[in-house]
Amino acid sequence: MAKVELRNVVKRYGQTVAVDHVNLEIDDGEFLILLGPSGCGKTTTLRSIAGLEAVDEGEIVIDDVVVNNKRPSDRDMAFCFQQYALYPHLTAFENIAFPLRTQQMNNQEIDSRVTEVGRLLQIEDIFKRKPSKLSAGDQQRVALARAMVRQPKVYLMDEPLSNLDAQLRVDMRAELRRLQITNQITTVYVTHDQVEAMAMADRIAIMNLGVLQQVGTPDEVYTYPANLFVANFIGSPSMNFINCNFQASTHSLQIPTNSETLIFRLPDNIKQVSTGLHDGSELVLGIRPEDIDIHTEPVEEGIECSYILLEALGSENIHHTGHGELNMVVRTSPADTYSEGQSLWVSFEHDGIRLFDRNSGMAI
Amino acid sequence: MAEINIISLVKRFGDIVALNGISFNVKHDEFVTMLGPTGAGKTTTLRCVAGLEKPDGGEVHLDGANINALPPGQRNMAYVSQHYALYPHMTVYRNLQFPLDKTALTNDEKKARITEIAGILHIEPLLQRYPSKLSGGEMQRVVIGRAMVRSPQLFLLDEPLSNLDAKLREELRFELKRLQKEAGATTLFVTHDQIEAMSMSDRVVVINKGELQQIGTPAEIYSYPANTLVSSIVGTPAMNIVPVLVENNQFSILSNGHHAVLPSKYMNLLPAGKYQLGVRPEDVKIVLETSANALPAEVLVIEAFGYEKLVDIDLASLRVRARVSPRIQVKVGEKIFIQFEEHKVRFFDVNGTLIRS
Repeated sequence: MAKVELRNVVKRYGQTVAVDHVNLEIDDGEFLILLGPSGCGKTTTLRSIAGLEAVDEGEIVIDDVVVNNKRPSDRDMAFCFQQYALYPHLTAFENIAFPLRTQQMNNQEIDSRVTEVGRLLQIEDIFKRKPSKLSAGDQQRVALARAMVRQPKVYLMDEPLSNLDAQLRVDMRAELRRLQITNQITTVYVTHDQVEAMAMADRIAIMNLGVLQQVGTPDEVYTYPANLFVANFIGSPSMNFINCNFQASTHSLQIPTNSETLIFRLPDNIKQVSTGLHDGSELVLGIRPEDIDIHTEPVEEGIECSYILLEALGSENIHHTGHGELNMVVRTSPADTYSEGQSLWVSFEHDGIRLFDRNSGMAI
Repeated sequence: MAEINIISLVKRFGDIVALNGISFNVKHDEFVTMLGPTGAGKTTTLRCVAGLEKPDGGEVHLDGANINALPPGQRNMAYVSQHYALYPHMTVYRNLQFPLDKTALTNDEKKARITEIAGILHIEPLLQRYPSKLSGGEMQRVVIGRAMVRSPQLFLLDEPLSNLDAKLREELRFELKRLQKEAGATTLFVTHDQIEAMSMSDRVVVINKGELQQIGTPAEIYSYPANTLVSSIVGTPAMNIVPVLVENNQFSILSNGHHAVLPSKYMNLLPAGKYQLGVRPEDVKIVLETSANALPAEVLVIEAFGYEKLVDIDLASLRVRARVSPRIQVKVGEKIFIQFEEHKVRFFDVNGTLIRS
């Protein structure tokens, strides 16, 4: 168990800044997920913590000790990377047991540890097979088991579930999370899948272009995204974004569409946050699909739309509606259905309204 | 447009039976999706329809006529595969024009056609660019445009969204669906992604290991999966499957004997014996106090997604998942009770086949 800190960490590859002054504190026993699109610097950050990359600036600190100059093997971390290299001549069991054998652990203890982790990852029935006889998903689980069979200070994992099929991934993420809650080992986990991040993390650190965008609990980053990037990246379907301008005199937003300008009066709960705005401020109104209500009759504050398309997912319905070129995506229970071309009015839940500065992208 | 009938299609590759008597049809202007895991036979079926594979048995009919002997070039179908290649040395405009080169259209007609397609796909601003200057999503639209430009009778799409990142996939599945509605094109679509299948299709054909499992609208397949395999392919997380014993119009959980009253529509329908009860995560209700039909359980893991929570529950050593409102407050390790939404519960026999009530 350990606390991990990144202090002003910079990593460059030639002209490219892969990790750009990242500051991050990961608490003892915490499950922290580095989330972002490909190329955002999340894997490089993880590899820097592991010691597989030497950082150009800043410090990696474990339990208040700077470890920049420590070799990977001296950092007491277990890795599981996307490119899992299993020993081809060893069975799955022996691959998993390998890190324990190097610690001179007795056979009985090894057996019980490997069996335990094998049971959790549901791979006991493939213990006797060699890697060449395993599917990609099974190989990945063996690699994960090999990392988790040890009790190091820190687990470092890079997309360990990416090769599994959808249903197994759902099972495994719950299993991994449960294991981590039980053993309380500090874990840094990299993924590009926001669903996985929301499901598993104590806190999520979202990166883009090498820069840390926001660190927070899943609930915080979902409910109060720090900027447009985070707002767009977290949640599926994405938050709806509507370009608008602030009108101070009426405390409202002007929403330009093809033919006219819609006026949206800001509800009272937004008054405090809008005090810093001036007349004409260029904004983006953000609203999650589940925070839009659909009405079949005109309502106060309602925007008239026509119904475009339904995506019925079984557990929920995703509705696409439009007012001119302004498209809005709405999430409801599967019971709500409308017909294509039907006139509707949509209104926004006051608690769900978020405002962003259109130029900086920052939340207001 | 066109209608396709696939009749008892069989295809072998050496000893492997890739398709074992697949039959279904795609009606005029319909969007039909073949869904199944890797190796199910989806792509093979699509390639047989396109004429790229010769079936070992069965027939493919286009508008009532057997086309088994018709070469691919004469089938007037557009085939878009996962690995889409645009000509890198040609602009988007030239890429779109290419399939028209050998047609009898005048230059003005070609231009009008390309402009129309570019408008539908919102790629007008890209026409003078080269493929290397396009994003993944833009490239995808150009590939679809190139398939559309010849006004084919039928679209055959093989995982056209699978190489794209999640956000783009979300956008394009909506665009593709809208496009298909506007253009009114008969479409046969292949995917392993149940969300794409659910959200885009008029009907879904579920296949596995070369065998047809079920054909139906997304809602039918979701609500009444023909068997436990389909129930596990459609919906994430999958439908919960709980082994139960039915006796005297009650069912009991096999592993601990806790029992509840059988849903009314199954009353007197199920002879005493072992069954598999299926219930979707959103139809598992968490209650904090015991009552009739409440089964004692314990919270194992909570996944909070903002708009919903998934709760992993231990029910007599069985794993059950509930999809609940974010307002439901439970803690890991908490003892709870669960109830199954009565009219949403399904029963499968021990072989996994749905019992119709």
